[in-house]
Amino acid sequence: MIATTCILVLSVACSAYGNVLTRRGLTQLGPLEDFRLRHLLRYGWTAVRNKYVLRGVAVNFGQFLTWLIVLSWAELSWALPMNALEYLIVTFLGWKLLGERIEPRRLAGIGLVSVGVLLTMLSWKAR
Amino acid sequence: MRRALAFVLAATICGCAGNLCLRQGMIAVGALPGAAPAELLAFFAAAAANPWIWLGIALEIAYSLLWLAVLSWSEISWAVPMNALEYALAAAAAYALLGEPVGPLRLAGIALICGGVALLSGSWVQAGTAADVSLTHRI
Repeated sequence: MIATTCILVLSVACSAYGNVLTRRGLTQLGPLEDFRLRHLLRYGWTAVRNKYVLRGVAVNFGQFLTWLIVLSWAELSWALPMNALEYLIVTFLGWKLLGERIEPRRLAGIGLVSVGVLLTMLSWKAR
Repeated sequence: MRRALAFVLAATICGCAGNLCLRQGMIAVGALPGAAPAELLAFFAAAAANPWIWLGIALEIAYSLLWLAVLSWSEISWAVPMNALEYALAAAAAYALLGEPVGPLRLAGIALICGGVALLSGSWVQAGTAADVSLTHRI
């Protein structure tokens, strides 16, 4: 279980950092507003040439590989909720690196989610 | 916010189905025995030869594209916790399709996660663009 948890934490950290990088890149691009195919393709093409989006995709690929290892060891209903650890990391990084304002309601929601994660973790039975 | 919420919902359904396929595939591949290079290589080769893994990858790509749209509209501290919607879906589906047990403790954990997500969804703020977001940090 310790090895599973370590790889899982690594996977979650990759996911959080990937989201931060991608969001930063997309903030430079601006919100997607036009859903016509030609515009979608152009938006996607611009996105994949953005260095932050590109780095985000690379980091998320690392997340995918480590996640495959976790899935070979653990039950999905245990492994999946553990990804909620990402919320704590993302909230901190969003506030610190992207200037997001964290209001009390959002913080309370994250708190509830975290307790839920803890309970889910306690329900782990040795494989 | 409604548009972002709809896309988050569609993304989580794809993500959940993708994870079920991946787990189905990894059951066939078997547990990773050790971290030796030869073992890792054989492990990922076996995974790449499994059709469930490829179906899972296709669904995860659909998830990523929808997620990209969400990230263009929303703050990450709003959008990322929304992924917890997937847990309720996954627990139900893993119970029904993979026969995984879901005990009272796990059920309580999942319920708390969902309650937290409901609180979070009310904390939507219109996200800024590069003009009004501080982008001075090196990341």
